[in-house]
Amino acid sequence: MENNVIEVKNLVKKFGKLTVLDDVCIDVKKGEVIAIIGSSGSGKSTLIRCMNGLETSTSGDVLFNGELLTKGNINKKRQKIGFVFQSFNLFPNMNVLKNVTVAPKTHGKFQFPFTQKWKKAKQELNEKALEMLEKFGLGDKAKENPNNLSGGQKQRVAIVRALMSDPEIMLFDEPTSALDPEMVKEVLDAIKSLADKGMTMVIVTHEMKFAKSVADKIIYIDKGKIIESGTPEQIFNNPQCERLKEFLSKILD
Amino acid sequence: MWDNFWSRSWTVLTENSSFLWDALQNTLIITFAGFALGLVIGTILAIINANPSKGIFSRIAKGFAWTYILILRGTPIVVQMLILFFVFLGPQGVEALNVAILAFGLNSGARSAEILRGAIGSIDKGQLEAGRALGFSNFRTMQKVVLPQAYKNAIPALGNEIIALLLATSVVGFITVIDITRGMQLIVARTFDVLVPYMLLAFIYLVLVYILTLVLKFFEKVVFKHGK
Amino acid sequence: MKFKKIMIGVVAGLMLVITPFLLVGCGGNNNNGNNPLGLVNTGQLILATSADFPPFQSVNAQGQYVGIDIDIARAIATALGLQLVINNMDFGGVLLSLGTGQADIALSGITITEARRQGVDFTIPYFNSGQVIITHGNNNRLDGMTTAEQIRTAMVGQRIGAVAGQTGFDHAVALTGLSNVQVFDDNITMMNAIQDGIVNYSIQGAVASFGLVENFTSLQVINVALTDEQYGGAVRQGNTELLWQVNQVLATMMMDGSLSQIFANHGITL
Repeated sequence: MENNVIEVKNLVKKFGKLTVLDDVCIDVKKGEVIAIIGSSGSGKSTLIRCMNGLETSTSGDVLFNGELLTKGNINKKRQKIGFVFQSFNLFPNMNVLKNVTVAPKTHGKFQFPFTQKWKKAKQELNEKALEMLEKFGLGDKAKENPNNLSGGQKQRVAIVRALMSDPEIMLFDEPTSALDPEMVKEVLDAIKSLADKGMTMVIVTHEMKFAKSVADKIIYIDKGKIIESGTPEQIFNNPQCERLKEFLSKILD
Repeated sequence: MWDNFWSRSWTVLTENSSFLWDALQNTLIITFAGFALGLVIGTILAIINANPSKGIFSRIAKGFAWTYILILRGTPIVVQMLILFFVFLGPQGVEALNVAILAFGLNSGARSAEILRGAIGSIDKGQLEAGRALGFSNFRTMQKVVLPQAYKNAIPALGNEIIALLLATSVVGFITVIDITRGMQLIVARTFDVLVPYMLLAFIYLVLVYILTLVLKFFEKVVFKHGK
Repeated sequence: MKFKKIMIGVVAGLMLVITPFLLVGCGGNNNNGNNPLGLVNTGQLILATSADFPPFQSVNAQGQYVGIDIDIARAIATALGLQLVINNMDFGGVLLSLGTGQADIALSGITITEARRQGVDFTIPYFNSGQVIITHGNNNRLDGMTTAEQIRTAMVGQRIGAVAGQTGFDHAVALTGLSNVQVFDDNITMMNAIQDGIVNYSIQGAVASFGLVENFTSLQVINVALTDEQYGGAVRQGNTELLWQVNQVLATMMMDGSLSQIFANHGITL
């Protein structure tokens, strides 16, 4: 369907004999925010990594804007799929500004170095980056090395880095799981602000309150299968399956 | 035989100063040019080996890289040098000095490849994934993210490599290049004094290595302070 | 107990390392009552030579040492009642070996020069020679030249091969300058190099040159002597007793014709 940004069709992923994802089907509509919840080892990380091709499926398809991910130039497609890692993965050999501008700079139209056009393009890019960093409270950190930042700051830089290429969808793989508790809020707020602006998102998370407040749809996965999915009200207030009930009771108390 | 050792040493140095200076230039040229060539070759080989692709081109390239490293680490540099000069390139009119640079470059390339392979391997997989997630090809990720970090990590090992190379050049006399070792041999043949020239030779190598070590330490400091 | 083992290991290791140094001191560097000729090993005449120089010294197909210098050395050893031991090495090391206690006498197509007299004592000369150019058979550049002058002029600026330590090296430097001299390890390598086109010319003693070219048929000798030189045997500097004995033998050989016979056996008419 045309306004499905990402479609996951009958996705199966095996590592050797171990089946991590078993016949998973998901449609992500434009503007939709989907939260994926489940216990460790349920396959939710693998699932979201299949959505941008960091993992390849054993069988089944992943479609981006109607086209197979694996068909044609996957790199071009990835420019429009933003991905935020649990462990940030910022580049330590560049400062914050360079971290966020390296992708659009490389993918942008080639200009001969040191010409007027080149200088102009560079200036515009830097201005856009600084503006975005400001919006996320990092305006004064542009020249810092990522290693000097706190976890929460690093993750916000990672979000800006993913946003700079104007992606059509943002994927978050447990964005706050590696953070100290006092920094979780600043990152969640950043993600929420994106959702409020209408960004299409898939978020794998353990933060239930957050999922409830920001997601349009929640998907519960266990042992590689989608057990239950629905709106936050349905999932949290009226869980159907035993396993989901068990899971929620453990998490929410 | 130790009589007047220091004045004899001084005499040997000053009487042959321009000859030894030319010889020293050869030693240094072969060392640095060979190392640079080796670094380029090593980088190419390391990139080939680091590519996760299982396609047919990648397989062939990896096979070639594996064979290259096996042969060049599995035979003595002297043998490689002799074959390159007397069998293949010398008869074609290639200058002995250039053959020496090539031989040492090819040989060092195999070791640099292994050094860089280790350095690349020690870099968090997340770095590569982040690059790919941004839409960079494997090559671009290598170029912009992985290799800069790998080179930094590899500096101590590469420093050892260039020092080892400097000492290894002492055999280029076999293919008629007059480096400082061959130069001293000629002086010995002329003066019949073995003690002074060979002691001087050892001392010169020692000084060169010491200077090189200092430069490397300084270089390390600059690179690691900056954080690039 | 473990410490003791380590100590024994360390001491044994040190002894292993130090012993060679202790032995070096005991060279044949003293002529005394028991060893009047100052030999390295009493009862033996150790010959230092570089067996890459036919017809003076080379190794035949059966792996035996043959040549004019070999025969002369054998004659000297027999005359002095000694057993001949041959120590084959690179030419650059031949004269050095006399001073480091590795040989008693050197016979290796060695040209007598003043510079060499600084380091060794020469016997009476036993052969007259001259330096000539060897080049590839296809090289016509020196055709028709008959004087040393013409050849010398033609060699200016050319790349000339030489072997470390040979007088050819000094002559090459004089002809064309140090930067144009390509130094090889031995004669055979150099002849191969000319054959393969790595270098175009080399300069060596005349007789040895003819001997080499016999084995390298694609090369030619430019038969114009550029210099005039004499070959001599050498002994350790200061070993006057051995020198005197050797000279006696050589003089006898020259007078009774056995020296000419040796040369004739190897194709040279004196």
